[in-house]
Amino acid sequence: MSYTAIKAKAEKEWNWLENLPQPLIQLGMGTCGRASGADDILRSVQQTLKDLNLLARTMEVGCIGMCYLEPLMAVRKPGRPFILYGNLTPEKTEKILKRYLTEDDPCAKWSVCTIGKDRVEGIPPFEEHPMLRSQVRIALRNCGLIDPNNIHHYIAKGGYSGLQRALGMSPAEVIEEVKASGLRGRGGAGFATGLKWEFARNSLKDTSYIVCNADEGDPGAFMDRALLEGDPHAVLEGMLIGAYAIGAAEGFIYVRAEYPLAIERLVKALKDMDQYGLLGDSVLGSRFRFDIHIKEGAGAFVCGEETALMASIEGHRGMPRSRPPFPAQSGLWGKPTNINNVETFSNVSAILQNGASWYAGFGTEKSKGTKTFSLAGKVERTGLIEVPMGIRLKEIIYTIGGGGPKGKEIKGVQTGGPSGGCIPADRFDLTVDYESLAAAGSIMGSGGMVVMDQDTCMVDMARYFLTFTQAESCGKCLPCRLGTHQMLDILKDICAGAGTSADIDHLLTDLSETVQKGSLCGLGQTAPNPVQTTLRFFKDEYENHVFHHKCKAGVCKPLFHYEIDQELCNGCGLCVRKCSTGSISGEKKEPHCIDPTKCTKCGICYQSCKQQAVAIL
Amino acid sequence: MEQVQEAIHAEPRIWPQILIMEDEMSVAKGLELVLSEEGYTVDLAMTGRSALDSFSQKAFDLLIADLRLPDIDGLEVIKKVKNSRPDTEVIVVTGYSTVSSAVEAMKLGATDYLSKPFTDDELMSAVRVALHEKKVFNTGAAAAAVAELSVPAPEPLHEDLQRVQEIMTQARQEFSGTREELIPMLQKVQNHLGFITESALEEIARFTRTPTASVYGIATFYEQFRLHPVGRHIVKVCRGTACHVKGAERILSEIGTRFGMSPGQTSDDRMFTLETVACFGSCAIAPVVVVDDSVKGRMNPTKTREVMEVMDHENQDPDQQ
Repeated sequence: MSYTAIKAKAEKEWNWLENLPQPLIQLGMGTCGRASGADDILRSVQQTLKDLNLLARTMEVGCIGMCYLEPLMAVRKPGRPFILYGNLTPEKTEKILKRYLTEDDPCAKWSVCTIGKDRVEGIPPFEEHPMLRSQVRIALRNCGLIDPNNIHHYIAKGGYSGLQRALGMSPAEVIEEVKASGLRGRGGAGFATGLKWEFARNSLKDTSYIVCNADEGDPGAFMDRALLEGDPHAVLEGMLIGAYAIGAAEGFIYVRAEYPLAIERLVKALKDMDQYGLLGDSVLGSRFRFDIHIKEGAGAFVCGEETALMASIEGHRGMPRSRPPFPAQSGLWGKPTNINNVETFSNVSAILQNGASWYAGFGTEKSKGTKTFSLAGKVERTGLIEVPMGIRLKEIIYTIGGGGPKGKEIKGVQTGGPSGGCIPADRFDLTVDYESLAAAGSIMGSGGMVVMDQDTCMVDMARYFLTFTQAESCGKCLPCRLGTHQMLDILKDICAGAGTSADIDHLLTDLSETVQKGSLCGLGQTAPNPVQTTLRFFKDEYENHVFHHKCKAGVCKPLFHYEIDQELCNGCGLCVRKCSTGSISGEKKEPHCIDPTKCTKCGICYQSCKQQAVAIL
Repeated sequence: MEQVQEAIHAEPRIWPQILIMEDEMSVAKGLELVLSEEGYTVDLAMTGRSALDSFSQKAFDLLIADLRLPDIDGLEVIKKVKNSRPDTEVIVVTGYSTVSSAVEAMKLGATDYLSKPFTDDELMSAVRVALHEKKVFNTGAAAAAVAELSVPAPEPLHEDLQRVQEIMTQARQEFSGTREELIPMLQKVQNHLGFITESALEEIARFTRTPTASVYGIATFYEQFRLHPVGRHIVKVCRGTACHVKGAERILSEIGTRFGMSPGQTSDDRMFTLETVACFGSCAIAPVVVVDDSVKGRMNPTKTREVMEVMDHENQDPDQQ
């Protein structure tokens, strides 16, 4: 089938969907949605429709990025825009459907926004929602708006037109287009994608491979997962374009095993592509042949590193090797291999669809385009966002994210996962791009952004990251294997109150330098980063731990205890009910107190007290 | 416990029979006194030949042998006894402690080597060890009772070899045996069995023509693979950054307090296995706990405990204690 014919078929189906005479109900069924109870909402929808004897169509969509509101449901009555409802329960769902579908009451108080051209009174449109206003969704263009299982939806929205265009160009021209867009690898290293492809093409002899790195090992990052679950074709189209450009006939998607839904979506997508001649001996009728295989990861963070990933695909332990030779010269089974991140590919398909200069219109001089971030931690509006490069951190955290939880002060934000760093709140003015983040001691990384407040202990965070990198170290390089172990031991000592000032100096200089310089791959080379940045910006916390044996954030148990402020406590007894060790006692309406011999410092009383009467001392 | 007591009292107590082979009367009598006070039945032999005679008439559980005898070499006696009655334990006692005799004695199967002078405690300790190895409560019911009572060793359960064979047959059809199929094959086996059994690991090694040690190396390198059976329910607590910041450690702590498990462990009743995962990628709804296939967001210690208690209750067999 020719592309034109496929497109016509897809558009017909989409038009039919747009003009349904019945209501259309979309439910967010990504992993986040499901984890928040979307399955119950779906059941409630089906039951309510049956009870009301209503004819309506339900449709599964991916993650629209407003995870803090999951489970989400969008309802469209004929002739009206979608109304998005969030924080649903089965009861609310029933009420909304009943009131809106039979009584025409849109239940504005439970709504989030409208999606679509027209307006509904009292409900702000998508584009004006504070979380969405500053966003520019390119990689995430379809997520939450189409059925990820339906290839027609993707095609109707312009999908595979990029591939069609690329097949009409020469591979060299495609590479020039990607170079002109200024796209840099979104996996974290930020290397110019077009250039990387050029290296692979220049090494081409007979066989070459293209790989999609969907390992997303950074704790705190979930952009790739949402993309694969919500719009797998955007990524796959990018892979095809890349394969065509570098001359590869075979591709691999290396997905981590912890993403079963993403794998499911990919399997379906590949099947559909095959049916439409988008894979196989003659892609879209051209001379380009291509096949994709899915490879599941097996739980090793280090396999996100290029050479370790390739070792894993080949069936070995995921241990990195030195470069040169780079994968572009000698990769899988010794052949030229090009590896790109999921988000990079999603941008590629958009670039070929809309043009390089369109893409280069976003972002800064050196960091073109947009970047997705997983905004998580101590911020009101947690979720998945995509913003133009160059936006200021404070806009992300306060405007998009809505700032910290009530009454808490934000302390900093961690970017770049275990390879990154913590940026303190007084530096939130900096612009988000590869260079400024590096200058601040952090990195862009894959896009994890975890916000921390006064209840986060920065020494504990350093310890947390070292625990992670130490466990994930493959063991090949002694400085990494033992160095991270020693750094972790020192941090554990500090968190237990046994640290010395020599520890702080040692951590900062010798150890960090040794691990950095003596490690073969990025894991070891960047493992000291969290320590370096926390020492640089939060040295007072380290000093408190070491010299005063105090953890002011109330995290390191040996270094603090809870006490109820006798002035603030109103004796409501809430903490007594929540305490699982029976450590709190007091008369009704009288100030209570905590028995330090029984208290396990679980923190439940501190978090539940409405008077904020529990103090950390 | 009651079962053991009953079994022991139901039958006459059979104490171990010990033969002391020692030519010095005072030493022999001394040993006899100590041992009979402990309740053992003791016989004496002053020469090698009389010892062999005694052995031809009666089965002893333990021979305490002096190596220097008037007629034949003590080692010779031990050799002969071990030949005719291999179940007999041997402790060697001698005034001439030379390395070669010790080595010889151990080679012949002696449990211990005591050189004079030794204390009563040293003797009793050696005797107890020798006899414990033999499992002297060799009566039927008592043995069975004790066996049932003993705490099961934390070893993998008896492998369901037939099941493993079925899965491997399927796997051999699906895969062609190339190196790059190693990890997918291990994943397939684990999907079916819950863990990688020893036999499965060996079969996969054979099929892919890879050394077993290499396959073992892969199975232990990747976090996903388990080499021990799992509980009925697998609880995975996410230890990602956002989950950590939002209190994942407290959830682990609560599970530890209530169910007595740390990450990587299976509960004693094999109901739960607790694991941690570096990141599930659902960070916006941290903390995340995955129970079997169900991903649960916005968890806390109380909610997690409640979910597990409900499962525990549902699975309890009312007939079991």
